[in-house]
Amino acid sequence: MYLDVQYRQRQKAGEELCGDSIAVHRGDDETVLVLADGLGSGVKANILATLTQKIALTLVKAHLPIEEVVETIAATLPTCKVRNLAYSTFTIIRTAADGATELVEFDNPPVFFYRDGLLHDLPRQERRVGALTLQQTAFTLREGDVLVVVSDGVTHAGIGGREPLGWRWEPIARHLEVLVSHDLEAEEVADNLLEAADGLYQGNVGDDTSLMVIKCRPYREVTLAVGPPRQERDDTVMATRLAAADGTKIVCGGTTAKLIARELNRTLEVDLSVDARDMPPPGKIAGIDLVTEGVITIMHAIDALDAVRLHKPRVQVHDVHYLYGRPAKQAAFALARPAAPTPENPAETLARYLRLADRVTLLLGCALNPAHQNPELPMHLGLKFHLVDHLAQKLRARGKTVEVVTYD
Amino acid sequence: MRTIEVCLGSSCFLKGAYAVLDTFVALQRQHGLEDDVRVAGAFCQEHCREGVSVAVDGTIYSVPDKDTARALFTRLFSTESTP
Ligand code: FES
Repeated sequence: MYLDVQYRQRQKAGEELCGDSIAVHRGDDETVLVLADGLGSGVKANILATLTQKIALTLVKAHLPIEEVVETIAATLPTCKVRNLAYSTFTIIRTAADGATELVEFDNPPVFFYRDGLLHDLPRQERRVGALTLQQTAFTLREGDVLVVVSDGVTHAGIGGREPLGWRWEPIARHLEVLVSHDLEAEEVADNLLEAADGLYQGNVGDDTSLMVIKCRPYREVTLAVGPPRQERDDTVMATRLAAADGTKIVCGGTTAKLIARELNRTLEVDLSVDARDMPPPGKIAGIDLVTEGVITIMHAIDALDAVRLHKPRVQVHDVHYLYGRPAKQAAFALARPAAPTPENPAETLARYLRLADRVTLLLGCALNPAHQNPELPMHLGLKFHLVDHLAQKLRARGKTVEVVTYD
Repeated sequence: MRTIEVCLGSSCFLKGAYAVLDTFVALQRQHGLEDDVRVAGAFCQEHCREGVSVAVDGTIYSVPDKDTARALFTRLFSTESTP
């Protein structure tokens, strides 16, 4: 099981720094997540929140009991003299590899928890540590569970504007439930939530706004073979590695597809059922999830990477508020999907697999230009390397682990 | 069954292979040869320089445009020459 963690932040309008601080720590046997919200806004709040987050992370990583973590934070951070308040609220989540999870909350909006697509209550225990009253709970996460942590900039979204009382916890919980029940990716939920908050603030963000979406799902691996190896004996090595890989298997390039099919003793067919005329057609090899042409398709896939549809929607949702009986003109956000999605072309399929991957292994063959290739056309080796490099960079920028294995 | 395989690989694609494919499909229908001739796509035939490459019953021809496609079809598939 893997925790897909996606967070988004906006600072209060006019401030240069966000007064909330988020930490994501992935250890060998645990994941620690912290969201701290410093009192006030701007530089001071940022320093307070960062300090709280760093102390919490360091001590939780060192396996100190939660009481000690909180005591240390309380002792280290002065309370605000004017308001006599502890000056940073926080949420700490620690999940072990088996899903066993501890959640500690101090004055942040309660964490939203979804199981089987439905909002669930997490029975919290109140706990006093020094002057602070904490909410604490322990539970076990399992596949499909979603947790959403927000700072009060989200629950207050709209104050002074579209929502005089702010967005508030309950409506947010219901909004999230619709997103989660559609099995959206963590990043889609995070983007949608931020967009909705932005919409309520109408461009004038009244408070630091932070959110973190955590989705438990299987780890996704993609192995992609592109280009024939320079040494012929590496053909077998590359094909064997691809065939033995976990997860999704992809081949890009006609010549590469031929050698993979040959090495694996399978047939290669051109698939003309996909009607995409702006790139060469995909192919089919048994046991390989996607077979495409090389550079042209990869070029289109790089273009499609940012905007590609990650899932085919199961239900068409136009307006979330509509589902809850609120007049459409009050709807703060809409989740629009095209009624009849156009079929995916091979570049989009490639882009979708890559976007959904956590780890991408690129098996890059470095054979020199085959003599049969046309020197007038930009099919040369340099272009292929450049594209693979560019693709790897874009994927890394999205937080994916990318490994390039070359055969030269 | 005879076959016409049009290369839709990178090079041939850029040289207009889909137009050549469409031409062969249209001619096949026009001549009512759907049951006798199979028109299909193919990956790189390793004759990129001379593309668009078209393999008819395994023999590779260079078919750069629709007109060449028509002429080739007439030559190889007109009723008289069909075995
Ligand atoms: S791409 Fe058609 S022969 Fe190489």
